[in-house]
This record gives sequence, C-alpha cells and structure tokens, in this order.
Amino acid sequence: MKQFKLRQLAWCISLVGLSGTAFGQAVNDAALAAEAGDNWIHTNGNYAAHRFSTLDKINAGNAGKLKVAWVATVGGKTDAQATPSVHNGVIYFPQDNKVFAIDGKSGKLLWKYEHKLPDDWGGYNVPFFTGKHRGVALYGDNVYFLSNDVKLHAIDMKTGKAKFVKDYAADGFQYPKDFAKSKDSNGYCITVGPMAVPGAIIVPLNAADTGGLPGYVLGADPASGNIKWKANMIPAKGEPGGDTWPEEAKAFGGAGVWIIGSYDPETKQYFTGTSNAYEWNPKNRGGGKMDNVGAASIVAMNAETGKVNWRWTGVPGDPWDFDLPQTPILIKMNGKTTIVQPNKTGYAHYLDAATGRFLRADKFIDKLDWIKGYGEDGRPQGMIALPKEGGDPVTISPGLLGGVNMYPSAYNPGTGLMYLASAESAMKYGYEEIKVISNVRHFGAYQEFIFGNEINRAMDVKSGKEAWRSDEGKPGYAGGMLTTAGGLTIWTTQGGTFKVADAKSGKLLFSQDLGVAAKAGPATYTVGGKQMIVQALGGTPGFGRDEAHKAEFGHMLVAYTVE
Amino acid sequence: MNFKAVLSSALMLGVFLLGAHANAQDVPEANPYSGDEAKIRSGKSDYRAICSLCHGGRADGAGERGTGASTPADLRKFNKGFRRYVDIVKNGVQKPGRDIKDMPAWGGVIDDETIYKIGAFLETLAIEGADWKEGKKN
Repeated sequence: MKQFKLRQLAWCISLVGLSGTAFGQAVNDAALAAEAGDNWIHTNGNYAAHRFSTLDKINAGNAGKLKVAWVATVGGKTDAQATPSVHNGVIYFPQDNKVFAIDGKSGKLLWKYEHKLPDDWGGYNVPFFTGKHRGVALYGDNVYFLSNDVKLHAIDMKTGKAKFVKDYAADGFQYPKDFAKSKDSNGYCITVGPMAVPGAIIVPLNAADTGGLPGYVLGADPASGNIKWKANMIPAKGEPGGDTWPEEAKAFGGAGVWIIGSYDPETKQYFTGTSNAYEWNPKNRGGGKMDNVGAASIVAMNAETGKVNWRWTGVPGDPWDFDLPQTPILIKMNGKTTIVQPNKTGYAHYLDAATGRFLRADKFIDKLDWIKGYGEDGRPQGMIALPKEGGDPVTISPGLLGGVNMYPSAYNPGTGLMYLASAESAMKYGYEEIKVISNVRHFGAYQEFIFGNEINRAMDVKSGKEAWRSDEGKPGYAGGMLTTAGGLTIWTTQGGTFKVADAKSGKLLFSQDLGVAAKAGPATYTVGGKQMIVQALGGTPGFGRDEAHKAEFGHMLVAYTVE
Repeated sequence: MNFKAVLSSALMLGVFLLGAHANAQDVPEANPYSGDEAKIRSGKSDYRAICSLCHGGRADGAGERGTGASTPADLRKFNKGFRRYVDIVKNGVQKPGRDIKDMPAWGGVIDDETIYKIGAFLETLAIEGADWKEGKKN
C-alpha cells in the first residue's frame, strides 16, 4: 500500500510538470486537450480525432519544395500501422512489441523498449496480428504501450525503462495460445493503442477474431494500470439491447475494439466503433434476424465511470463482417457535437453524440448494393439475401474490407471537408460449418475478394457530397489521412506514394514514390523551428496476395520538411 | 536440474523424436483421397472454414489475414508434393525474426484425415506448375 501511495505521488508530481526532463515537460491535462500543433500527442491528433494540425509553415505555397529530411528504420517485421506520437521533438513509435524513441530532427534512435511475447503465444489469426500496433498514448512522463498479449506498459519517456507492466490476465483477459501448447487457444490479442484522457488510460480489448470472446473497453489508472472501470460492448441482460442476442452467444459474440476512439471533454464521454459480431456465420447469434446490439456499433461510455450511455448498431445482425471499426469523429454541427463515421458499409453515419440518435447516412463509394439505403430510423433497408450455409456464395459491394477500413480519416475545420482513405470493392461471401478447435470458434464464413481502386476522397460534412477525389489506379487503402491549417491534405497510398494535395481543391502539390506499403496515417510536428511531416511505412501492399503493386515487404519511417 | 529431471527430459525428447519420425513414416506417398468426390467436398468445407481466412476463398493467397510478415502461399501453384504439404500443415512455417509462426502448426488440432481431405480439394484447384505428387526439391 505504501509503495502504491508513493507511486501515485510520483505520478501527481510528474503530471504538474515538476519532473520535467531533457525530453521536455510532462504531458498534462491541458496538453491532452490541446489541438495538434508543435506536438502530436494523440494518435488521432486531438480528442475529437480530427487528425488536423494547426501548423501552417508547410502550406500550399511551398509544399512543392518538400524534401526528405531523414529516413529511419526500426527493423519492422510486419505492417507498420501506428501513427507516430510526437512530444517536444521526440517521436514515439510502436512496432513488433517494441517502442522506439526517435529524434524528430535527425531520425536517430534515442532508446528502444522491448517486450518479449510469452513462449506459448499463438492461436487463430494471431500470426496476422502479431507485431502490429496502432499507436501509443503520452501522459505525464510516460509512454503508454499495449503489447499484443494484453499488457499495459508505462515507459519512462526519458529513459525508455518500464515503470510498470500491468498484465490483465488475472482480470479475465488472457492472451491466445499456440495450438500445440494449450488445449484452450482462445484469448484477447491487442493491436489497438491506448488513449490518454484526464485521469485514465483507455485500454480497448479485442478477441473478436481470435476465437470468440466479448469486447470491452477498460479505464486504467495511469499510475498503476489497475482497472478503474470496465465497459462491456455487448449489453448484459437487462441493458438496452441485451435481448438482441441469444444469451449464450454473448460469451463469444465479438464486438471487440480495433481502433483508438474519440473523447468529448464536455460530457466526458469516450466513443468507439466496435468490431463484427462473432462468429461471422450468424447462425449461432440469431441468423441475422437478431440485431446483436454492441457489435458493428458505435458505443458511448462515461470515461470516469465506464457506464455505457448508448450503443448504436450500424449493421444489425452483422451478417457480412461489416463491422464499424473506424474512429467516430466529433464535429460541431448546428451547435451540437455530432459523430461522423465513414465506415465499411460504404456510408458515413451521423449521430447525435449526446444521445446516439441517428441523424443521417451519406453514401460515399460509387458501387454499393448490399442494401438500398438507410431509413430514417437508422436501419438498413432492402438488404441482399444472405447465403445459405454450404451453398453458393453471394456477390456484394463493397467487400468486407469496406468502403473505409481501419485506415483513419481526417477532418479540416477550415475547409469543412472530411478526408477518407477509401476504396471501391466487392466480394463473394459464403457460409460454411462453424468449426470449434482448441476452444477456438472459427469464422464459419469465407470470402473471395474482388478488388477495386484505392480512391481517396474529400467529402463535405454538411452536404454529404464529394468535393474531390484522387483515384490511385490500383487496389488498396491509403495508410490514413492528415490535414493542416496550411491548407494541405496528406496521405501515402497503399503502394507507397507520398502525396500532398490542396485541402480544398484536391490539386496535387507534391508526390514522391517511396516504394513501401503505407498502412499508417502521417503526423506533423515542429522541431528546431521547422515543421516536419513523418510517415511510417511497412508491410506488403494489400490484404493478402495483391499482384497489382508488384512490391515486396519493406519497412521505414520518412520525415519531410521545407528549407 | 537433478539427474531424474535430466533423464526425464531425455526420455521425453526421445519419445518426441520417435513420434515425429513415426509420424513422417505414416504419411503416405500420395494422397489417399485424391479424386474422391465425397472427401473433396468435405475438404472444401474444411478449407473454407480453417484455411481460407489467410489463403483466400480461391486459394490464391488473397485472404484478409494473410499479411503477417509476407503474403501467404498461392495454393493453386503448390509444387512441393503431398508429403511436404502434410509436413507444412502439421508443423507450420516460421520466418526469421518473427515472434510467431506465420503459418501455424496445426498438427496437434487437425487430424490426418482432415488434412488429407483439404489436400484432395486443393488438388482440384491446381494450375500450371503445381505438383501434388512427389514435389519439386525446394
């Protein structure tokens, strides 16, 4: 207990900035609440997840003069999915269960923190997830990192040493295990990053596709990692929506969390999109006729108590793996905080953030036939008939990779435009018998992708109309979008072409082929008086084999600036 | 470690090696289910349920979960022969520097019959260059 109090005292001291380091002052609550500018603290730029920076030294007038400032590598072994966080000129970047601190001016490594996965690590889909991370959180003097095996690491920003490593296995969140080493391979596997809000580190948990366990969001004590609250994505019996599942299906129903959400400091609500319902074949969870509220949903919870305020389900019964894994973006519209979420369905959904009330749905992709549209009640209308188990697959647009996948969108309050890392696609989708092996419930579904082009779009959030597009000519999704007060929108295509466009018109101002797949959004920051743009690249283009790009695996970070 | 523990470990290792050897010996040179329509249909279902998430519904490597460190194999072009196929499915494939086998070792959880049925189905998808018999030396 004494040790715990000392730890809390140290935490409080660091929070008020008395323990400022060579790496700069601590990240306090005011810094968390600030817009992205010289620092890029939150993975999504700010609480509202705008991925917008107030910096304008690089702008439409000089973007054509961008030069590579440095190139660095962290030796990544799988996709680089994290948007780097930056504080006082130091970049913090997670990859392969390691965290790297990199000098934002030179690209030189300052320190490396390494976590070893357990010897019996393994399981269903787990090779795909291993080593991927979507960000870190910065708070106090710490970098907060979630390793794949459900551990929260508080790492000293200055030294790179762990202050604590909180293992959530004892709280019921065990990691998935190798088939050969365990008769129960089912478990939670974390690829999403944490998010810092005043007084809590948000820890999203996902086991949707590693065998079937329900999704949660935790609020953790920044001083210890201990759980302060736990929010269930699937409603319990008696909660609104609790009767939209067969009760026994809730134990494996998915609805995990793939992404870092958004936060409204006025109402202290945290918002997240949730994953698919599980299994993908819906026969054990209502056959598509029960809504499965909480899966393929947007969920709002109080970030001080964990109380779920509302759940809105975008794909009731989720029969297509059309989860809503995207970050809900918060935008003031008509004086109200509005959630705008472009997602897999091919629609951008608008909700009242206070109540979860459906406002409208704007179609943003060209080809869409899985439904005829959304009704005023916010429910899909005229959905295509589901395939029969063991029968022929059905062809629908978009495919399960979606109009927008997890690759983050951005919003520029200056232009009123939202920028979408989107793609055209279709798939053949069929159901098969659900196998249960090593306590792992398999999908019971399969798909054959029909790839369309990567098309990065600007959409007017007021009208819902497309303002401009950049058709990249090959399949895939941009790694993510960034937009700035300099009137720029910035992204890197799946094939690895770094692009800078005029945020309002879409006119291309700068382009450079980097030759490595991008699966992360760029960030911008200031160091030594210069504005920098950093982009992480890494992986192989596309989902699965994608011959169109003719690119091999690669991995690097690139920073740009203007002289 | 005391003597008993060393002896026990050595015995376990011996049993393991004997088992592995016996297992390899047990694999027939050719797939006993090749051309068996009922087994192929069953293998297709197993493939879709277990393998397609990485290798894709068409077995061409275009599965959603195939990009761990590299793209998964295009099984329509599999040319390493039946016995090597069984070995890969049972023991998995690990790339240098990775913390996990990108192709999991399914040997402990999928029985031989299922592996053979899936192989029989995949043979029906073979395109030019595929070899499900003796296999190319690689």
